Amino acid sequence: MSVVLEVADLTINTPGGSPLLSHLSFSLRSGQILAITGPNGIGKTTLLQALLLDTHSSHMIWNTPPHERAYLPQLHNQYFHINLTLKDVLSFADSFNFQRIEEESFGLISRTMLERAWNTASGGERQKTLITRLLLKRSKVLILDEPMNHLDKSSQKKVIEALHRFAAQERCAVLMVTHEQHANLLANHKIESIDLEQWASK
Amino acid sequence: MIELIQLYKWSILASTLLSMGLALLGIHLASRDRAMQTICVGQGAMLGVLLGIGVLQYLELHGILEQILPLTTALLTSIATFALSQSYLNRGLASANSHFGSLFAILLALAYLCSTLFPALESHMAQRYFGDVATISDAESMMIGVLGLGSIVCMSFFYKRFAEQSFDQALYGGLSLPDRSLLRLFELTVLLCLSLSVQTVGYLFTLACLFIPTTLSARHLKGGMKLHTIFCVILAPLATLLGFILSLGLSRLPTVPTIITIMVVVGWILVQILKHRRLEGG
Repeated sequence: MSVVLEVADLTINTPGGSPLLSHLSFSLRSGQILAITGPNGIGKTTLLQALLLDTHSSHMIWNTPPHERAYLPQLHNQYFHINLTLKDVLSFADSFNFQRIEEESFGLISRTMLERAWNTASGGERQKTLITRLLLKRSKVLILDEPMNHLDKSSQKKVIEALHRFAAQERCAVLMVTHEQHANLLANHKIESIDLEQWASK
Repeated sequence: MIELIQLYKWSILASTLLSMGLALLGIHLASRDRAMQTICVGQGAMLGVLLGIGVLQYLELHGILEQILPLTTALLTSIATFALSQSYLNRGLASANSHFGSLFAILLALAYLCSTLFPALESHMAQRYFGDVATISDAESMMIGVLGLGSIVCMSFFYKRFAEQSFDQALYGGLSLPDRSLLRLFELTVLLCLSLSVQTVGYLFTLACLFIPTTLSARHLKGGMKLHTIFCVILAPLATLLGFILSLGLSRLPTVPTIITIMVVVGWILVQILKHRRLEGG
């Protein structure tokens, strides 16, 4: 498996300059799902932002170009001005195909869901739609910030299974931030994880 | 009546095209929750227009400068207002709308101050605020017609990508990583349209075409992106056309308020027709 991201001896500070993470090293390979865990405020999202914006380029080597990286941030706002349907949201991806959506979403979305309105869909339906939109982009690296937010246990399992199948089929790397409470779910699906607490600046 | 329409044919065509271009831009500005910022940038453009006209009158300049100077100053002040207001958003200030509100009050005060420094500006100020589509010159008609058409082409060509960017900005705020070149293209189109539109057809017409169609649709229609866009691109030019012609026929009616009244009435009728015929799912 080829390495898509190599992070070596990375130190990250808060915007105010105080140290957050020190000497962090890891690598991400194609076909791998890697979870980053840790308690609130430890710097998980800050780390993702640093990786995405390539702000510490001497300590990280990307072997994929930026346009091959897809990012799912945490939701800042649940509602949208236009009354979009879930189908509208998915059709932002060029490869969206109404007939094949069940296969292409790896079981996350059913055709019957597509006419539902975004603004009245449940949190779980919205999250699965957003994850599917990312899968449809067929990027080489998926970077997901708290993808389990708003999902019940059964949906969390479906998302992990979908990511597994997607990573294996597309030889795509998945880097996701998640909470410690999902440790069992990660272990059950043999997902490697990094606990940021070990790297937190004291 | 036919003679009047013949006389104003270029103004009618240009303002109709501009209204459609503004309505398309308004969909994305509203989606990105940028209405208050847009009102400030429009007021910044207004200040630039007044400064430009004031300088023209003070220095007694004529000819091509009469068109170019107010547009240039409007563009400069709208860019400065945009940069300042964008810094509020980039700094992640809580309650950005309150900051935009105070910025608007300052710009309004500066515009009034400008009109007292150049006394002949008072009538211009009223005209730039409330507008009159019937008084635009042929040269202005050509400029806004081209700009309106350019905006329609740009917004239609990148329709899906602009929509996705608006969606991401609304949902993810500062955490989204937008395609920078597409974002700059959108911002440039908005600044150009606002500056020229405020200078020629006025602030009121500009804001009405930007926000009335998209808010009517968002409030009443549930048919998705396609229906929303179609509603906006039909309503704004139809209301402009009908309102303009009605105000030509009834000379006591001012053009812009008539257009806006027609926009609300026709918008409401269109909403009722669409609801009644259950076309929303289309």
